[in-house]
Amino acid sequence: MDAQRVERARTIARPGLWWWTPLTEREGTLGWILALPAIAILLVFIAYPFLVGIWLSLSSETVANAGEFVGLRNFADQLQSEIFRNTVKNTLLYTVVTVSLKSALGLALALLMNQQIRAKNLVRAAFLLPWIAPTALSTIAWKWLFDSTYSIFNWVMIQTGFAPWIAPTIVGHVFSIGPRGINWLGNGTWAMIAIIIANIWRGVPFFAISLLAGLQTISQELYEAAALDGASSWQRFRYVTLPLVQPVLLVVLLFSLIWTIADFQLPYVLTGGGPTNSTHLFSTLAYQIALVGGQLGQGASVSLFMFPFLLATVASLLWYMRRQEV
Amino acid sequence: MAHGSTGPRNQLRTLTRRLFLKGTLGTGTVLLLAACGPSTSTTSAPTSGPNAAAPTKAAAAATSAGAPSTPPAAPTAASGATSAAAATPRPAATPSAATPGTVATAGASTGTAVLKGTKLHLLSWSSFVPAEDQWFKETLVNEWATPNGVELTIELVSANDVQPKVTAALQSGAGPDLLQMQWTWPHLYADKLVDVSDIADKAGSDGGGWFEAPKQNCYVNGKWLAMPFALTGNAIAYRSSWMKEGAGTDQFPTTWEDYTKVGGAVKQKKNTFVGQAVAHSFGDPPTFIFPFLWSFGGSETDETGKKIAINSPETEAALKAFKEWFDACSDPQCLSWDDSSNNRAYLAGQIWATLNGASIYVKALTDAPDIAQDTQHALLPKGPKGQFILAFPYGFAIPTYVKDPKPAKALLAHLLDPKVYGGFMKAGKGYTQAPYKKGATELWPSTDPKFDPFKQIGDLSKWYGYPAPPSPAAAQSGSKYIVVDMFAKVIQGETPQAAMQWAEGELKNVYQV
Repeated sequence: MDAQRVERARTIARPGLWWWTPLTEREGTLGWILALPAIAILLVFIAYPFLVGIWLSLSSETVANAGEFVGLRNFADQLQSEIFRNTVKNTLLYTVVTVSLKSALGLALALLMNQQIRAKNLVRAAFLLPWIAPTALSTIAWKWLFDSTYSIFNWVMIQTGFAPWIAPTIVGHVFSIGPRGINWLGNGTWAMIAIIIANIWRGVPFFAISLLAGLQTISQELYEAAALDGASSWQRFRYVTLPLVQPVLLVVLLFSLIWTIADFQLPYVLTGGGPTNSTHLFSTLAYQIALVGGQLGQGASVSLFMFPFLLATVASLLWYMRRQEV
Repeated sequence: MAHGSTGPRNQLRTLTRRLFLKGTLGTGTVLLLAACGPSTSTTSAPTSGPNAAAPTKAAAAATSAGAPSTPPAAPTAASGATSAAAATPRPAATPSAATPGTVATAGASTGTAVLKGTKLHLLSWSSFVPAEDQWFKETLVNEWATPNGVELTIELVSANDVQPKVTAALQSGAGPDLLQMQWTWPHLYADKLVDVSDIADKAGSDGGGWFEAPKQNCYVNGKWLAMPFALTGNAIAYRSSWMKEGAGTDQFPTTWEDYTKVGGAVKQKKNTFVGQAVAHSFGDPPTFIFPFLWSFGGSETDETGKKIAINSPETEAALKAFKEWFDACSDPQCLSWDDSSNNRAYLAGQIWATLNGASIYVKALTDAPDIAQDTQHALLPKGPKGQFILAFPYGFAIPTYVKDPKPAKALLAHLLDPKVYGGFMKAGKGYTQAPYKKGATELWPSTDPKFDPFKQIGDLSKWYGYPAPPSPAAAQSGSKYIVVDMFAKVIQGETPQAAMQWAEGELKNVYQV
């Protein structure tokens, strides 16, 4: 009786005792409760649209019509379209080239930023600006840089005499450089180069800052030991820096691949997929078909073509990272 | 838990898991209640639309930094809703209960519509002539909405941004009460638009009869699914003095062959060129390319729309003639142009001729009077099979999610009343042509003879898919720029045969034949 009274008194005296307290006292349960909002957001904004997208891609739905189930017909139709086949090539080329160059340039920039330089914090912040600036706005600036009439690049080429000099030569013909410079956004090849340049400019800071964080975890003693053993700068980079920064590099590569393959803002604003569909990516073509053409089912099928590529890429990278850990 | 002094450090120490959870739960509940608060509107606020604040259009920045003439999209100003008559930014299509006994009659054609207390939301494009926007936002509101007790919200966005908003509204079943319908969109969205035949027939009759193109675009399977509102016709704006100095003629060429000669001569002598966009932009490229193709007898399909006819001797002739014309008169940079590029280039004196609406001239009247004085207009030249125009048509439709369409119909009837429409044409100074025949005669707003070529736009204009009737497939092929790209490929060096074969394959895919 006394023991019960003591227990009851202790229970009453404890502040903040509610009916759910036993649940929240358990770590496992509390963990699920705290994760519920994030899970709900993922379900509502990721899982649900994804499932609806799959359904749309298997149906003939348009903006005005619910359509009906058509199986894989939308996918088959896209494969017969040369515009779509070119889009696949464009997307693969764009992704492989930009991600490769971003990782190489990002690593170089990270190594530079890792040095002890004056005002290094300011320099690091400045290097991050392209990543911070809203993509649509910075792409509009690039559009002016590549504009057929107002391009600063062409202006420099004309003023220095380079464009008039090279235009009549074989190099000028091969690279389509005229006396007024390059038709950046009106030539299919140069338009692709233009969006690659803009993407690299925007994406390098992300690589650089992430790899910098990785570089700073490498102990200086390792470099000293390597130097004592007679390793050259390249050997120190090859045998010390690279292996230790690899985990970070792989994670950054993973993110960059996903974002680049699904890039929309940059190609849409800069070229709109032109000229003559030479810079259409999956996202811009899907937008054109679904939102401009009203064919939601076909547009969804174009979007979903990205999925196997992404899945294969992500799976490969994760498998490789797992292997490295082991 | 130690209970010592009540300084800040000790207060932090007493922050237990329980307290943290309480705080989080309380905050989350408050936020949830605020988000799920009661709403009186079934339509979303205009500025919260999918493209409300994002200046994602390339043309937007291109025009914001270039000549301020007629941008298709201004990054900061275009995507905004204006509610000139009311303070609340959340319009609803549901009319509130009228005061008993006070019923406003909209007009005999709509029957009795309860207007007083109604909220209407109209979505349209931001015109290339700002005075037209002003007419919607001020004149229409002051002369119709306010006297009728209607809270009218006019949302004007860049031309390229209209379709995503329309799509979002129709798919979600909520949004503006009146949607701008460009090109053949009524055919694309047929199942989600209200039949407005009861007002369209009368409007056409009062206006002296509809022109063919607006009717084709808005009349779907025996019903008017949108009210035609405008034809924005294109004509070639050219520098008459440069043509005289370069080619030795005062008369603008009337055939493509002559245009090639004259344009070539001016390009050589005056170091300038004809600016013609051949790219993925909704206005200038198709309004040049399709009439060019038709004038040689080429077309996407036959008259039934069921057989692809693009791969033909006529199309081949058109492609060859176009290649010859483009190489002689224009410049490859035009492959990257959008609808604003030629406006900028003309007003900057970089090109001597370009196909455009009257907006270049209207802009030049205020900003570049010398250029305006030297500018003349001419319709597109003829080909072997005649002279064709593809004017940019638009109208307004009422989506089926609008519970009571009568107020919206009343507004449409008012807009197309010739007395009212004449005021709109005056505001635009001739930039927009009327969809009915009175627009080319008694309602014609300008005494400036330079606008005269635009009087013929209504009679000459065709539509996407011509000679077949408009269809969703024609709209889709237009949205994919298949025919425009076919011509662009020829400029880039492909043979006409290869370009035609490519277009044929793509069109078969689109038309599913």
